Amino acid sequence: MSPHVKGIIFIAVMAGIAVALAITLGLLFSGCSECRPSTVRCQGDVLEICAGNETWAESEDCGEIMDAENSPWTCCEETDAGEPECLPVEECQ
Amino acid sequence: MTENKCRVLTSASVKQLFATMAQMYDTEIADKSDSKEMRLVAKFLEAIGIMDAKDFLTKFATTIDHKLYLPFTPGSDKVPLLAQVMTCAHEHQHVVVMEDEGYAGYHLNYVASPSMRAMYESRCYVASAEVCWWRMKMLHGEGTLPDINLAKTLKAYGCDAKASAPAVKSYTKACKVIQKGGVGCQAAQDVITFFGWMGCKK
Repeated sequence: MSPHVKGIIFIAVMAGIAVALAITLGLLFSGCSECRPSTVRCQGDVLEICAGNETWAESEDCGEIMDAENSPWTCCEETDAGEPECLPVEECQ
Repeated sequence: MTENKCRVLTSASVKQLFATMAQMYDTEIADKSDSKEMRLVAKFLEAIGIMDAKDFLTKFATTIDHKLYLPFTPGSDKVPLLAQVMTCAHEHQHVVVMEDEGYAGYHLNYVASPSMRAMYESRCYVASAEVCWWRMKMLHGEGTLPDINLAKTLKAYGCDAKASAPAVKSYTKACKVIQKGGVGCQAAQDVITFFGWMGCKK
């Protein structure tokens, strides 16, 4: 077998491995929890939003928010907006 | 928060900001127009109809792994200083998101999923907006970034309206937090802290 053919086979095998890896990683990272795009929820202090690919994605980590008063923030389930959002703890009833 | 002095926004302080952030985030800064790989990417994006090559090289910063390709020299007088600061926050927030999501997952999602790309970009535009708010009490400064209609901006990233809608909603929610005085993006927090814009004595 000529080195040229060997090279083509090597590239084909590597491409196959890359595609298989991409599919595996895609399945691993696509998430299993399907949802309706744009709906939001609290997961602890993290506000999550359903992304366009119907998987949950972090919108904002409310617990990591800093402000000038050093107030603690939280992901508040019941708000005037009618859906979860990040609010200072004292504003979350 | 204790009161401290505000650092003045000058060419020197912007240069120092980029150096400080590069050290904190282990990033490297490169000139986008001088980069062979960025020129190749620009040609590719133009060939597949996503973006004009010149626009890609001159109007957009790009972060790959820990390397920031900037269309300006930090501290240069050719681009408004606040725009440079906002870009610094935006691009470093990409590094934060990449580290949170994991290197492989982030890059795979960014390339293969327009909806996740829209989510990541939205988060990084929040970082820019947070910085802008604490400097100007505006979500976007005139003459700095395009007046953000995020859905329109995300089109330049190859994200259609359906893919962008949740990202735009996420951005809108974050803007409400910003207007209440909250800063959620780590990179924006570091930039604001660097300049002492939160709780400083003007």
